[in-house]
Amino acid sequence: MFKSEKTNDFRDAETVIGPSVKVEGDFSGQGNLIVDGVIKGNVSTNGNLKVGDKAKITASVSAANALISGEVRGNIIIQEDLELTATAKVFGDVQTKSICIARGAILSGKCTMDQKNLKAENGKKGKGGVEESLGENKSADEAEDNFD
Amino acid sequence: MHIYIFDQYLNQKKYERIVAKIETRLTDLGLNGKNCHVGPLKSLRSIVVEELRNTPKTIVAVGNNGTLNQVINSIGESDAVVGIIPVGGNNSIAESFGIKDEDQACNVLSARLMEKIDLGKINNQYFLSNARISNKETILEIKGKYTVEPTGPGQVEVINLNTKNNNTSNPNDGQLEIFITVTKKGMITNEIDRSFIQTDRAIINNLLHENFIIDDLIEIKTPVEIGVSKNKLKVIVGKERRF
Repeated sequence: MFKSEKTNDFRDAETVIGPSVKVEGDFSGQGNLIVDGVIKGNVSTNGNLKVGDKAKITASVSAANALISGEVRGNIIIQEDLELTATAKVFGDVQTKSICIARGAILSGKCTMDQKNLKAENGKKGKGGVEESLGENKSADEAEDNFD
Repeated sequence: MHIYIFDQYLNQKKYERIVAKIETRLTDLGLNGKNCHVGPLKSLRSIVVEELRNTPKTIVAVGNNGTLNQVINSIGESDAVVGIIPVGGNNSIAESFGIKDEDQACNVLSARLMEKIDLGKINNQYFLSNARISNKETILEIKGKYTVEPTGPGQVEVINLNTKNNNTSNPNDGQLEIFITVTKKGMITNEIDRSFIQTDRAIINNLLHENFIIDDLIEIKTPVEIGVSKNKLKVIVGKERRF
């Protein structure tokens, strides 16, 4: 999704929060957002969100798609695809349609996936379509214990 | 009718030939109008205000970025079309309009290709290109929703029309682009961190009371309220314009 983009490429991103910038308050936008700095407040965009490995977001996040490599302390709601890279640290509940978690990523919270879509896909594929719903994951406390 | 406003610095002897050449060329193209020369007793603003009473079609700034800035701040709510004939240095705005020199400018005026563009507004002062301030102790409040604070030395630049080659801003979109650059000292070379925000309004304050610089010319005291006037200005542009 974002792999071909560079942080300094502003052409596709409506907003780029660099590593030397501190943002406080509720950020909401329509286009793509790249965060490499610190945000204390809710982040919401109708476009894609990329959170860099040094970024830190303290509040809830919502976007169409997201690639997270940094730290998010808050709930995440993603309309389509969520990707957590090996350096990602998420402390909060996640709600998304599809998810990809790399080895080394920390996800500490409840993960809920779009049940309607999963059922529809199950119907098409037969019994073995989607084996497990991440909606019935471990609780956040359990997950944190495992990583601590 | 065209009103040509020649900036004060063009009264210097070294510009005599260029001014004469422009006047001849305009006559050749049938674009001759009223030539007004700014002088110590006649300011650019007073000339524009006086000439606007006769409802001229086109006001042409002959000079540089500063001349153009003064013209756009003098025409007020008038719907006069603005053109530029660049003479001398500091003419990056004319270049982004696709006008490289005075000869090309006369041809562009003759072709009369018009574009409506946005104007940035800082307090009550319009700007075409950019406004900048040092980011030391500078805080930006964007749309009253969130604040942005740079954490190191550098610059905050608010851009309506990008006059550099890397064209990242569109002067027709009703938005201003805010670039925040922070310079970090490295072992061999300095690193520059960049942030970029699009907005149509912001309040920028500098706790050290440094001034905002508009179009590399005018200084304005902080705090400032920044906005954008969409499609405010009709300008004559060349085919090679950058937007």
